[in-house]
Amino acid sequence: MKDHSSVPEPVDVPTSVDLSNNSARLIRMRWLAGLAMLIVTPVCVTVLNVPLPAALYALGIGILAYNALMEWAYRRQPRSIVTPQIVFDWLALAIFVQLTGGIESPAVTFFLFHVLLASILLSRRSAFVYAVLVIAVVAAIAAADAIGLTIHHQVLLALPPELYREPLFIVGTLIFFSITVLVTVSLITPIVSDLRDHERQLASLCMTIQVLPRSLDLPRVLDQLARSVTHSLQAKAASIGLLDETGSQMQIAAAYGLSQKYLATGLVQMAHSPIDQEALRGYPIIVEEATTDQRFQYPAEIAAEGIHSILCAALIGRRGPLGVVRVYGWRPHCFNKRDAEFVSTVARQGAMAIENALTYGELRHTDETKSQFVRAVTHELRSPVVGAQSLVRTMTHDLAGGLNDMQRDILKRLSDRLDVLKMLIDDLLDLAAGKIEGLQGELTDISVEATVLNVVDHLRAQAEEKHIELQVDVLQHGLTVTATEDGLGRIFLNLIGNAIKYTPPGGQVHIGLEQSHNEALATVSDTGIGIPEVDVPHLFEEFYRASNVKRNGITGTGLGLAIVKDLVERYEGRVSVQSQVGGGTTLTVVLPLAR
Amino acid sequence: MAKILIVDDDPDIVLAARLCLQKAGHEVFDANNGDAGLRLMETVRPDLIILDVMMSTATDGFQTALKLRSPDPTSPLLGYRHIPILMLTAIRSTTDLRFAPDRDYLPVDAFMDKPIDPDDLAKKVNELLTKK
Repeated sequence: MKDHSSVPEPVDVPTSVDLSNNSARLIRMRWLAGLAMLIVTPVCVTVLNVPLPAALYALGIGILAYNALMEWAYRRQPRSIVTPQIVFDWLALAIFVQLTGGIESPAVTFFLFHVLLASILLSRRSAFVYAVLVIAVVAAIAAADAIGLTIHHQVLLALPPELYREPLFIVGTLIFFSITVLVTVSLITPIVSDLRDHERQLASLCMTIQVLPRSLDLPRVLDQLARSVTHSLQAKAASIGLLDETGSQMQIAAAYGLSQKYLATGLVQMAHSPIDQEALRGYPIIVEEATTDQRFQYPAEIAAEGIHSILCAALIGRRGPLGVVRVYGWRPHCFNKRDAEFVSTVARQGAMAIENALTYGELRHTDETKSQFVRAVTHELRSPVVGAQSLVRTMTHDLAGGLNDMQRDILKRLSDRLDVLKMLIDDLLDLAAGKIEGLQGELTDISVEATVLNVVDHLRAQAEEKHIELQVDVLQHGLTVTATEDGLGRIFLNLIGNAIKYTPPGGQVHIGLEQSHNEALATVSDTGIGIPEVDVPHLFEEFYRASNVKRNGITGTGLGLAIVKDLVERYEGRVSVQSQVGGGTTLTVVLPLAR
Repeated sequence: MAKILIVDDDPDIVLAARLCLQKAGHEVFDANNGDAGLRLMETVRPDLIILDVMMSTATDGFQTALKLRSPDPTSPLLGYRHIPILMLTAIRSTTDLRFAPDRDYLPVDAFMDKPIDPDDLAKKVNELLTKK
């Protein structure tokens, strides 16, 4: 199975990638913070008479300095600064808080920025660890000030001078700060997690809608569907069961994340699997604890596989139920209602894709059967005719004893009739084969010039026998079209063959090849008997033969041009005819150039 | 005069070829399928083999040609690799365009389209015998 890249892969819990994406923004903000510190500090000191310590200037310069370092490192390797910048920012903020009053500092609330970012970017657990660290740092600053380990900077002169040593104030402030921080984390992380789930499911749904209908290969469609639902629900596994023709049994047709042992469990008998029957009614079913659920046919195998939660949704196509998608979780209560709706939506898309793939498979099978039939008929029809032709020829060549004139004449007539019969069979079967498979082979880019020259070589002896001059003018070399080798050869064989056939001895057949816009233009002109105007519109009809051809006793099947038209149209081209009785005929084939 | 083995399941084709080749002075043997043809190799030791493409199965003729030309040193037919093979095809004229003798494609020396034309057959057989 190729091209798994198109299958949505799991969206991980935020990692350093997310952080590094935000690094550029953080660097910009840090420039502002550093500059603000250098500008606002003197204003506060001189205008507002706030006794800010001079150390704040040093801190401002320090922030600008390490930010310059961060920016330099970021340009070299964005991910390299993820951890250092967190450490530096914490340190800077802790110093800032200490310099602006410790526990009394209004800047304590700045720690919430960190908590918010962590809640959005990290997993729930990491965000809580982060929050506790923030609380610990603030508590440490307060404690260090209170016990005199650090010099307390009282910047809000209106506050009582000994407030920072007041245990009740310190504990009270810390409690409120802690509640703020922890509530922030617990409010934000579930929302972020929900959004992430949603995002993942949407991405997966988009992929499913885009990718699935494009593939007509059933195993691949099923495989992608199983992977897609597993990843988007962050489940452990998924399986797709398809119903047999009678609808009484279901076989696992694709699975992802399940053990070989579980997959070998066997067919699901619908009569013994109430859960699947329920699901086929069209509503998704969530099984919270599968090991104790009575609705499964193979409860022991489910328990052995370690499956607890199961989400079942029906695959229902236009022709009716196709099967069931099951998503498995390794814990109880893995899936919620939204997951069920999501799987239902994916299952609807999946059902359509499965139906398309099934129909395509059936069509291919029919096509193959037809081709085999045509091949068998070809052999069966041709064998007696070529046998008879071969025998008659032994007689006309006097290999079976001498003949009188009457006998020779009769055999000649017999031989001619057999020749026509063989031509008819060949053309008829070519037409039938062409209609089925475009005359053997795959479409490839083929040189028109090489094909034309090949056919001309093939027919040269025939033309020379009739003293007809065959002339080829290639005005544009290297033209290629998309066709099958046999098909393109057949087009020119029929056209040039006809031209030779319907041109009296001593005439000319001219073949031209040129480019016109994005198309290859081939013309086959002769100085032959021409086609009466009344016959022209019917020329490409099957078995149609122009009136003057029949009068002149020229043998033919009336299928040659029908085959040409069929093939040319198959290659998205067109064919036309200009003719005048007695003035020759020009057939023009236009084929789009290969891209 | 040469010994020619015709392998074809159509008795009319065999008869026509036989009449034509006998007239040209050759000794003609025949078999109606590939395996029977291979079994005759030892007793007849032909100078030329005429093989039909499609016999009991669609690929009988191809298979027989491949066995005759097998380079496998353990092949019991190793001694007959040099014998020229003329393949009779019932393939439609278009396909002939690319159906030229090609050693990589099929190990035979020449192709002829059915029905058998006595003059063409005699000419082709002579060509192959003298080339040898």
